[in-house]
Parts: sequence; structure tokens; C-alpha cells
Amino acid sequence: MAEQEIPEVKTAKKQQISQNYWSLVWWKFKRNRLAVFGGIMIVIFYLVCGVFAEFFTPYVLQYQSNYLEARPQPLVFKNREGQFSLRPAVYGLEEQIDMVLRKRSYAVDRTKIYPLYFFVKGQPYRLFGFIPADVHLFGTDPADAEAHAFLLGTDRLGRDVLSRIIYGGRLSLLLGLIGQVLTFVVGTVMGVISGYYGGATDIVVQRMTEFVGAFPDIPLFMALAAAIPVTWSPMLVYFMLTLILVFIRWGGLARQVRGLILSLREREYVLAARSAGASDIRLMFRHLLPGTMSHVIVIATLMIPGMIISETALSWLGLGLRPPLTSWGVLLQEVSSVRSIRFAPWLLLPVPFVILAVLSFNMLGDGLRDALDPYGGR
Amino acid sequence: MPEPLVEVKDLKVEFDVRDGIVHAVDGATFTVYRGQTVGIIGESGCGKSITAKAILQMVPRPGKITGGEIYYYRRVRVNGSGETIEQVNVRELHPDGPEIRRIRGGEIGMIFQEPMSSLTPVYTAGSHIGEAVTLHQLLPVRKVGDQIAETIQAHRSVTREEAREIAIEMLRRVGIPKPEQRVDSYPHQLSGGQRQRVMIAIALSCQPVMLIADEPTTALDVSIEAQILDIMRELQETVDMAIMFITHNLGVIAEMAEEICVMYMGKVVERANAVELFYEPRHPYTRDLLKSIPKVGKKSRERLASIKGMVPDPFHLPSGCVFHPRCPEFMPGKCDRIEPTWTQVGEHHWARCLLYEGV
Repeated sequence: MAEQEIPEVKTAKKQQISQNYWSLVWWKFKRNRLAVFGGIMIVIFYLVCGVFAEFFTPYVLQYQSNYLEARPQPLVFKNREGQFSLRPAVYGLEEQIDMVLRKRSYAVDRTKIYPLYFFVKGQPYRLFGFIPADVHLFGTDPADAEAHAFLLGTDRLGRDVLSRIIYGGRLSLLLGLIGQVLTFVVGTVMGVISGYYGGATDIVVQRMTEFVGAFPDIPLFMALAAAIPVTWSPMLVYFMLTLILVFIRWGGLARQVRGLILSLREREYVLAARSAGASDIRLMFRHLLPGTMSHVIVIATLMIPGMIISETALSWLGLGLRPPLTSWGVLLQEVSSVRSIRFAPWLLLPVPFVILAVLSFNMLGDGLRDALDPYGGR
Repeated sequence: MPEPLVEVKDLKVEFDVRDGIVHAVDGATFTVYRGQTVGIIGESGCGKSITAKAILQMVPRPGKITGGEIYYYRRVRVNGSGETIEQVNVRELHPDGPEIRRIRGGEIGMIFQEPMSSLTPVYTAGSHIGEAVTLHQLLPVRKVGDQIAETIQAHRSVTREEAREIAIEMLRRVGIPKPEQRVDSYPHQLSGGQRQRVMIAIALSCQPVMLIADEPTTALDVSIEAQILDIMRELQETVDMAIMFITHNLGVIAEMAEEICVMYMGKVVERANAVELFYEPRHPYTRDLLKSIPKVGKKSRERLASIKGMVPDPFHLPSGCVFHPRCPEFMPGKCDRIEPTWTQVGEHHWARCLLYEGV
């Protein structure tokens, strides 16, 4: 026993010594429940929508059912015979013609119960674009061709809204991330150069940020979006849109970085590193940039929701992504008429997802801001 | 005859600011010889640090070197056995070019006044030293079967592990306890004295031929100061390195330097070897400066001597000798009209004063 105890004491002591910066950051971050929640939500969002969307969706993106604008089917815990069961199930839908509105609608048919199965073999897809698979997280009995489960309803073309939201999240969230990474790179590089060299370089860069910032966003977007050739593939359009967003947004970050660099470059350690033979590039990116990182990471995180919102807003206006691409903005564009809101309000369901994603990013960013300064008060 | 290492000739550095031009350094002339310690003393703002920075082409903006020459004499190994001396005019080098960066840190090391803020806060002590080493130190590549020939042409830079080993060794040499652990310490985990030791370790890690110490002990308390000075002297003896020691502390300079330059308002006003300067100061400014040192055992209630007057406004320098408004030996009609020149007043003793010009 005694032998077993000694190593434990040793490791405990070692951990106490190595309370470095990042462990302090992690410790402080963990105490902020909201930030942890936001972080977990974001991880879930990116895993579900970004990486494994095909697995988590009950239907593949291209699938069109015969049920057009069907209402969401409520979940019940009953088996086929109508008795209580732990396995969730959905009621079937029955087509009706509303003679007053002269419109087709669906009513819940309580006689038909379709149980949901987990890890069912459904429509085939390719995971990551190359691994063939056909397992979905949940779905109806594959043997029953009649069975269908549209938990969040279907759209005008009979496509499952839940699946579409998950697929839409992929493009929206990835655009936020890729766009922000690019903004981060462009913004920090320009900011560092501007702040470090000062003088004419600084003036040029700052006037550039002001010039871009002074443009009214939407007309600039219309102009840039109009410049994208119609013949381009949707994927190319997607990347162009990302680049346009980056072009509009790098200025803010560049100004922040410049301000930080301006104060840091007067520090003695810059002089000391210079006298040790470090080049300008080395001084900028090895000695000055790390000092701004804790600040920049927070700003960058808090800027991602802006990216996502921009994409959603622009796509809704028809300036951003267009079908056949599916993003949250594209989904919402389909409900841009009173008619759809009146008769198919479930098509607005992407909105709560957008809100949840944006709030999660904000919570994470706020938590990071507090955590990255672990020596500060609060 | 000692071999000159850095020769500063009539150096002029000007700062073009909105209110006019400040002559921060105005005709500084001195030579640092190999292995010798030169002290530079003077009041705050007299151009000591700017002179040091000018040697490394690091004059901060809007300052500019407007006149004079700075020569650095580099020993170059010639194939075979001999060595020749190559003259490098530092003024002509691009301030961010590879040549000056080779000199900075590699051949001339520099340490600063503020050890508390001279280390980049995000890097450990070891990575600082490692950076200097990987930037400058090249290891000879030994070819198998060619061990006899010592003429080594190929070089490679130091690997990460080697840099770490060198860092630990350097920390040990500057007297930091437990260097194997301290090498991974961040600057905020070190005390002021330890940080200054790390700075010295960085400066010395590439075996420079000269070390510029810009008030290295000003921010430290007296006991640490003594330790740091001891370390510098010890290391100087082992590696045969010249030191240019900048300070306003006369006690420190008496202890460290062999030769002393006294600066006033950007000019070197007197230069002599240390003993002579302290026993036989010639320039009235130096005399006043030495008188203002408090002495142990002096009669009580006696007032400490100070130099009368104020440091002149750099935009409106006095005519003639810049020291004349404060000079106890002011000669009306001469000192305010004629600018004194650099005059030899002893065997190895120069002063810039009209008293010795026979005017």
C-alpha cells in the first residue's frame, strides 16, 4: 500500500508546480457555466452540422417526399398497437383537401403509428464525401415503405425541414468559421504591419480600413454579389461570398491589433530582441503578435456570430447563397412570403437554431474574455 | 598596442521633432579596444544610450545619424591559419539588413536598464536564449574521416535540443540556481536580478566580442548590483570581451571601467583612463561631477556639492561651450563665444575645454 501512495503524492505535487497560464485559463473558464454551455453547444453544432450531418439527418439532402408542406409530426411514446412504449414514435399523416382555402393540408392520423428506430439503415450517403454509408441516427422502419417521420415538417417540395436545417447549418457555420479564420489572418497581419512600421504604411492601411468601413454594407454587397458570374458553380459562389465577407470585415480586427501593437512595440523587450539580432518580421510575429493573442481570440470569437448573421441576412435578401446550396439564410428565404408564414410556420424553425448558435458563440466569447485574463479580478 | 574594436568618430545623432532639431549626440568620439572596458558617464539625457544604440544602428525614430562614422573591426579567419581584420562601417548598413543583424547580438551584445520588461512575457528564459543562439551561433559540420583538418567551411545552425543545452549552460554560468528548472520559467516567475542575469546570458550566449551594458544595474538593489557586476567581470575575463558600460553611477564605473568617457549634452567632454580621471579630472564638469559624490566620513552638516544651474534646454543650447552657464571656471568673453575643441591634455587624456587651449 505504501508503495502505491508515494507516486500519487509526487504527481499531486508536480501538478501544483505546473500551474501555467493555460491551466489557469482553463480553470477559470470551467467555472463560468454559461461559457462552458456555449462551448459545448458550439462543439455539438459543428459535430452535428459540420462533420456528421449525413449521419444525424433522417433524410438525405436531395430526398423529396410526397408530403408537401406537411406539418411537424408530434412525438409519442406508443407502439404500433397504441400502448405505451419507451420507443418514440410518430403518428402518420393523412392528406386532406381544405375546400374553403382550396388547399391541400395534412392532419394527424392517429390510427397510424410509425415507431422510430435508432441507427437504422436508411438512404445511402457518403460520409466526408467519400466513405459510403447508410446508417442514420434515427429513422422509421426501413422495411415499411409507407413510414415517414418529419419531426419539423416538410417544405414546399416535400423535403424534411429537420434534415435541411442540419445541412443548412453546415454551410452557415462553416462560412462563419472559415470566414473568421481568413479575417483573423488578414486582420492581424495588416494590423501588425500597420502598427509596427507606423508612418506611411500605417496611414495607407488605416485609410484602407476606413474606406472599406465607410461603405454602406448592403449596396457594396449587391455590387460584389452581382460581380460573381452566374455560371460559377455553387461552391465557388460560396467561397466568393466568404471572401467578400472577409473583405468587408477585416478592418475592425486590423484596427484593434494595430492599437495593441502600438502600445507593445514601445516595450523594452522589443528593443532587447532587436539588439539580439531579431529581424523586423521576427519581432512582429514572434515577439509582438503573441502579446495581442488573448485579446484577438476573444474579438475573433465574438465576430463569428456576426459572420453567420451576415450570411443569413444576405442569403435571405437573395444576395448571398442561392439554391441548390442549403444554408440557414437560404432556408429562411423560402419563407419570405406571408403565405408561407400563414400556412407553414414551421418553415421558420431555422431561426431558433440561428439564435442558439449565435448566443452560444457570444457566451463562449464572453467566457474566453474573462478566462484569458486569469490574473484579473472578478 | 591594443587592437581597436569599435571606433566612433565625431558621431552626430539628431532628432527632428516638431519644435526643432535636438542634437542628441553631437560629436562623440571614442574607441573601444578589444577586451577593454570603457565606461560612459553623464547625466540623464546626455546621449549615452543613443550613442550605444547608434553603434547597433538602432536609433529610435525620428532620430537619425547625421554625421560621423562608426567602424566595427571584425576579425576574419582566412583559409589557412592567419586572421585579417575587416573594417565595417556600421552607418552604411541597412537597419534591418542581414549584416547588421549578424552584428547585433551575434558580435555585439546589448543589455538594458529595465530587466523587468526586457524579456518577452510569452516566452520562457530558455527560449529567449535559444532564440539568440539559433539566430547567430553556427556549429561547424565535421566530416567523417576529416578530423585532422581544422579548416571548417560548412556551418549549420543549432538544433532545438542543442539550443536548450546551451541555454541551461549559460544560465548556470550567470549564476542562476537550478538552471534545469529555471530554463522553463516565464519572465514573471523570475525576480529582477534573475531577469537581468537572463539578459546577460542572452547577450553572452553567442560569445560576442563586445557587450554594451546600458545602465544594467540601475533598476536593481545594491546587493544584486554587486553580484551582477561580479558576474560581468568574471565572464569578461573568461571570454576576452570588450564592455561598453553606460551608467550615471560613478561608484560603479570606478569599479568596472579601465577607460572613461564623460558626456555632457551629446558631447564627449573628457576621456581618460579611470584612475587618472578620478584623481586628476581636467574638465570642470567632471570635477563638479566627482565633487557631488557623497563621501563617508565627511564632516556632518556640510552640504553636498551639486552642479549649479540646470541642464540646458536642448532646443536652445548655449553658445560656445555648452557647459559655460554652469561652469565654475567660466571665462567671460571666451567660453560663451568659442566652441572648445578636442584637446589632448595628458598622455592618454583628452578634454574639450578652453582652459587647455590657451585661448
